[in-house]
Amino acid sequence: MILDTLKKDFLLFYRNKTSILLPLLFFFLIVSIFPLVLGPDVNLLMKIMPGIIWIISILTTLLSSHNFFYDDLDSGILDLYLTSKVPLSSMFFSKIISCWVVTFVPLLIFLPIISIMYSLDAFVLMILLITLFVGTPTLIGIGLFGSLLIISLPRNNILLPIIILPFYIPVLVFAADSISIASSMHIISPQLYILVALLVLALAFLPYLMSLTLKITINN
Amino acid sequence: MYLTADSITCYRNKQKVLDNLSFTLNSGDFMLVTGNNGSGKSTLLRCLCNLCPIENGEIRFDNRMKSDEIEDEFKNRILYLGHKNCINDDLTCAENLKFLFYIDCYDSDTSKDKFKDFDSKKILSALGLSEYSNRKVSTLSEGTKKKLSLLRLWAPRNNAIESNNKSIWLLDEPLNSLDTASKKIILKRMLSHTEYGGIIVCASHIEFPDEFSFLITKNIDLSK
Repeated sequence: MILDTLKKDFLLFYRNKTSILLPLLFFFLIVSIFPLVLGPDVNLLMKIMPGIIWIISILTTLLSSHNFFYDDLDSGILDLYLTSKVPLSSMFFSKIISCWVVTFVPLLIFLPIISIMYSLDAFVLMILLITLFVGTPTLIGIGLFGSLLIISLPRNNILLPIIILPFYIPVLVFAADSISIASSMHIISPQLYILVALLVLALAFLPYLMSLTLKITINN
Repeated sequence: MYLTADSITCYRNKQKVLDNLSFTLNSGDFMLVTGNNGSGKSTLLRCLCNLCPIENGEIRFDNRMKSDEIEDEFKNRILYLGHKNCINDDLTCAENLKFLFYIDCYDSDTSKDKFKDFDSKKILSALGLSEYSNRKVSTLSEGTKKKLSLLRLWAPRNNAIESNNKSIWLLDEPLNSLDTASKKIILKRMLSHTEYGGIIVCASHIEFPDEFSFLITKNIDLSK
C-alpha cells in the first residue's frame, strides 16, 4: 500500500514539476538575500546561517503542506479513501514521506553549495544537514496534520501557521542547540538523538492521528 | 441480503435535512431518490456509507446495526459514487482507472499482485474510452471524465455480477453529463447488477428512458 501510494504521488509530482521547483526556488531566494542585506561579515554569517536555514525550512514546510490535500478533497478522493478498505494510516505515512522527499531532498542536495556563500565549517555543515535530515520530516508531518485539520474551513490561509508553529518549537530548539554545540565544541550532541526520537514519535503517531482527523473533518 | 434505514434524521449546518426517513431494500431492489435541490439526496447517500453522521435512527445491514465492529464488512459491501469524479487531472485515463480499481478492490491479503495483468484498454472500451487510454484527464470533457469515474462499476469486486462484494451501489447523479448511448450502457449495467441480486440506491434528476423505467422498484421523493 505504502509503495503504491508513493509511486502514484511521485508520478503526480513528476507531471506537475512546479510543486518541486517552487519550494526549492523559494528556499534559495530567501537564503541568498541574507548575505546581501547583512554584508560580507564572515563571522556573523557563519554564526547565523544555521538559524536562517532552519527558519526558511519552516517557511518552506508551510508552503508545501498548505493545501496539500485540497486536490484530493476537491476531486472526492478523500471520500474514496474513507469508503474503501485502504489502511488510512499507511496512506498518510506515505503522504508524509512523498511530501518530504519532494520538498527537502532537493534542498539537502543543494545546501552544501549554498554553505559556500556563508563560509560554513565542514563539520557544522554536516551537523546542519543531519539535523535537517531528521528534523524536517517531523515538520512536514505536523504541517500535513495541520492542513488536514483545517481542510474543510473556508479562508484558512493564516490559520495553518497559527496552529502548527507552536509544535515546531521543540524541533527548532533541539536542532539549534545541536548546531551551536557542534560549532563551539565540535562534538555531536545528545540533542541530535532527541531530534531522532521526535521523528520516530511523529512517524509513528501522526499517520494514525491524521486518519482520525480525516474521518472527523469529512463527517462534518 | 437487505439494507434497512429506520427513522433516520440528519442535520447539516444545523439544518434538518433528513427527517424520520425509513425504508428497507432487499436483493435486486433499485431505489430512485428524487427531490428538489438541497432536499437531501446526496446527504442520504452519504449517511448510508458513513460519510455523514446521523442524529437519530439507525441503518442496519442484514439486520445488524451499522457500527465500528462491522465497518469493514460495510466497506466490503457498499460502493459509493458521489457527484465528484475521484479522478486526478494530471494522470492519464489508464493510470486513473488503475488507481480507482486498486483502491476499490483493496484488501490487505489479496491486493498485492492483483493488478499485474490489468488490461485498462479492455475496461475503458466498455464506455468507448479506449482511444483516450494515454490521454491526460485534464484534456478531456466533463462527460468523458464522468464516464471514466463510472467505470468503477466494472471493477472486479464492485458488482454483484462478478463477485459478492460491493453489492450495494450508492450512485449520486450517475447519468449527469452523459450522452444517450452511454446512459443506456450504464442503465444496462445497473440492470445486470440488480438481476444478480445487487441493491442500487440512485439519486437522480434525470428521467429514466421508458425502456428502463421497470428497473425502479422503489421511489423516495425527499421534497415532500
